[in-house]
Amino acid sequence: MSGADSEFDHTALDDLLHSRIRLAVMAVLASVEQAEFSFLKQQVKATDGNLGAHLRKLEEAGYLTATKQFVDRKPQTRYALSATGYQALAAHLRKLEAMLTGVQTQQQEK
Amino acid sequence: MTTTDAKDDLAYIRGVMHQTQRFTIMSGDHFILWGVLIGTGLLCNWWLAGSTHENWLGPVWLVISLGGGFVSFWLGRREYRRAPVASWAGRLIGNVWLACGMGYVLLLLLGIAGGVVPAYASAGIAAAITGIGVDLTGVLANLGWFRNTAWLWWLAGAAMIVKPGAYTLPLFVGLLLLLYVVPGIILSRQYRRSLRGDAA
Repeated sequence: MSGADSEFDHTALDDLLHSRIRLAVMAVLASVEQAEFSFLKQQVKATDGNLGAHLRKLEEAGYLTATKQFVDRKPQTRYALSATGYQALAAHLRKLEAMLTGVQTQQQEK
Repeated sequence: MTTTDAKDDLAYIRGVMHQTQRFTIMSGDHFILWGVLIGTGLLCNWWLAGSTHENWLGPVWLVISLGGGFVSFWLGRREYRRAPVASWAGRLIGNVWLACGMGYVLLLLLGIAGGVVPAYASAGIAAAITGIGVDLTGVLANLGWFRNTAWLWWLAGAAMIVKPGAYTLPLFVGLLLLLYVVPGIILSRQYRRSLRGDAA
């Protein structure tokens, strides 16, 4: 492993946001007020089952809220990021940035 | 996790957020509605001004403003429920037109009724405000062609302010049809196609 590709303590990061799909869902929902399942599927390029499972995990953690409704007699589920979700994503980003800054500082000191 | 993974994650999050923030899905129904309503109101002005029924103009514009506002509100609610995403850009577009609407009401309805704004300048002022709304909508919805039509509104507005006359009314109706109703139809078709594609 090269110096520029060193490892750091990943346990400090949010386990739920380790998955790329969950991270993408959170990033998408942080940029909109709310989004329908099909929009999320299009944006994160996941299958129905896979995305559904990830959304359930995020919902159970309280990171997002789901609202079910009927539009033109078709069922529709809309998702929005909760306050807890916003905080979790912001903390995750802060930690990633802090870790990268820390690694860079260490490399400069060497 | 390695620093490369972390860098990738950060770049990925920023990319997704940037891409999603720019996303808007806009129906042109509001443009068709207001283009037809205002055009009809202006034609009523043309027919009724100077006639024995000139006093009908007040109720005509009241019906247009209130009726248009009510239908626009209903369309907005329906779009909000149907759209696959409620974006901040979409909300801003709604606010831009609400602000423009307030400009029309204050300057054109109250201003002219109160004698503060000369009636002959109304078409030019309306074109200037419409140009602002079209320009900002084009930027927020990422529709370059729509944004460019703002220049035509401003150009026509400048002509109507510099050289007011009887021609301004039919010119404004023509502009509404060409630069408001026609783009509205194009946007409406795109919106329906995108909803169908989304459902598929």
